Amino acid sequence: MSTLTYKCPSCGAPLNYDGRQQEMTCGSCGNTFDPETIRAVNEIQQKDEGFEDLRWETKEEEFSQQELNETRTYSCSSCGAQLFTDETTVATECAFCGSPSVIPAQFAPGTRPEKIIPFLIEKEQAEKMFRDYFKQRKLIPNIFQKGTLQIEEIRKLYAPFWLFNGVADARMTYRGTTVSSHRSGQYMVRTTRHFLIRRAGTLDFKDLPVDASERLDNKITESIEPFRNADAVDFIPQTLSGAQAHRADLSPQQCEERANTRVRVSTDEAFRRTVGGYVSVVPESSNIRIEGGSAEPVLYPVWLITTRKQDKLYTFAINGQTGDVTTDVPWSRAKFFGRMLSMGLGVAAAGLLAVYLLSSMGVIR
Amino acid sequence: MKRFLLIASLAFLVLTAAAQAETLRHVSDLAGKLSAGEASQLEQQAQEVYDKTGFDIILHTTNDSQGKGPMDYSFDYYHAFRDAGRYPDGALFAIMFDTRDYYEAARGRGIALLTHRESNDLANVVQGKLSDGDYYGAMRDYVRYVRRLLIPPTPMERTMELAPFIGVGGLVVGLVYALILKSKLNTAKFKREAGQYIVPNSLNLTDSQDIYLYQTVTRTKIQTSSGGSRGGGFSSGSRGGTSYGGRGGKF
Repeated sequence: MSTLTYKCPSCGAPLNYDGRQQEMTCGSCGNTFDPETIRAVNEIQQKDEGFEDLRWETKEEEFSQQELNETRTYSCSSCGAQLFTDETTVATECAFCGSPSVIPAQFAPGTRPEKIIPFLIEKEQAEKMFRDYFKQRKLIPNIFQKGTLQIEEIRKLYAPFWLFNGVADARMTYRGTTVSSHRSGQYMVRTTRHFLIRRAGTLDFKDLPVDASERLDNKITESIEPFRNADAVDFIPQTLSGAQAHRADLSPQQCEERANTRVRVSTDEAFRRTVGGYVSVVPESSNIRIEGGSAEPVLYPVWLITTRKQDKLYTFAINGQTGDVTTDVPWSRAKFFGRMLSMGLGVAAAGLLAVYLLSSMGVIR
Repeated sequence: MKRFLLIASLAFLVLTAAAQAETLRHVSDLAGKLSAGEASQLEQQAQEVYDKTGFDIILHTTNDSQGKGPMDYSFDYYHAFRDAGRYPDGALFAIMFDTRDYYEAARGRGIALLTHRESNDLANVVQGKLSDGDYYGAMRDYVRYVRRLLIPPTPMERTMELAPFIGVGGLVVGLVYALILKSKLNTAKFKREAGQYIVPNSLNLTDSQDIYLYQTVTRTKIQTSSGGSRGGGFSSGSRGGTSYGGRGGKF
């Protein structure tokens, strides 16, 4: 036989029903509650139990035999990266380790991209962006500014992504408080009212990309987002001509976690913005279920440039469609503090001079 | 004749030097709240103001205001303490511990100084330290405050006064500038959220409930003794034909 226990919304201790007052009383914190309130709180908590479900349907269409004939997928013999290119490419170099590769005759089948965004940034533009970047950044370490900046490798790469689409069905609860104060004789009386807040609803996500290549650093690919999907065209092997491409070696299931992390943050923030009028709001529970979730494979254009300094390889990536740039080149601490001090002293000197002049003119007394 | 002129000149020089070196007593600490060193420092500071401006500052504490109100007590004490004919310009700052009042009584140029100030200037200068029990600090700040009214700081002094704030402000500006430069480097970072991929206006709320649970009430006694009053309005009166003006408050 099971028993039903109601817990205090304030401290979590069991509640007892007081027949005389017709209220639920907490023996631990002493709060009393209307039974109807407790019923509503219980209902909200039970409603959301077991709701969470963050799974996405995937579109994994295999290459047709004709496309397989026109597309070449191969593994780099040096670093093991999975790559593909068009049938006309017989020799290339690995997009990741730069090793020259001869494409073997036998190809493994892979996931066929649904869409591809063509390159809009040409090689000359990419090289100029790379060089301009180091000219314009003031905190670049000196090793990048002394002597000639050599491009070790420049690669025109179609990077694989899974595009996640779906509706986040969310159920959120928060604890909120309002505060009012008034004076009563010699006392200030401060009343804090506590609320249970529930929000439920849906939020649509479209074309959220997650890098499907194990070898590409997600920090790099996410930093050059967004890509404009309106420019995407249906994939045909010929679009790979003149570029390297990487096969998706991470499944949608392997990429789901990254998509879910970002969806959860944005959903939490969107629903939190619907809660207003409280002095404090503390999230209590967040349950999200993906409805109609799907993942679609696409190829996005990326220029990958590497440069070597003091035996260390630095990566520079350019969004081949929008020209957005990112890099893992570090910043110089010495230059940071130098710039901070020179600007700080300059501003302080100007401020002191201004105060002196204004004092002399009698504007500041 | 020559000898007479020589003696007269010497007498004039001696008298002039004596007049310039005249030292007044500026601190009357009847309540015994100041150490010898503190009293000495206040004497020096008030004397310096007197030497430079001829304005006489008197600092007074008492445990017995003789049943008088702060204004009457301060005017009476000032009039009795210092000859109004010889020292017409000045101000007395009195702290009365029996009633926890403070009062500033002024005469001559002091009245003009008082009337040109904001009504709660005095409270801003002294009340915080009086409430904290720092009586020496309150009196030192009062002397500095009057000195500043009488001797406006030179542009260099004013600049040096503000130099620490300007220096800190400059460093903050420098830090913000360096952080902006830094934000343009090493931009390879994970995206935290997916806001760019939310379909515009797609948020559809199907349930929105705000359920009142309970309330907590706290009562805090309003402290009146430590708060003090922020200084009263300007009052005036006359003692022995000398006009006095003043204002004060509680601490």
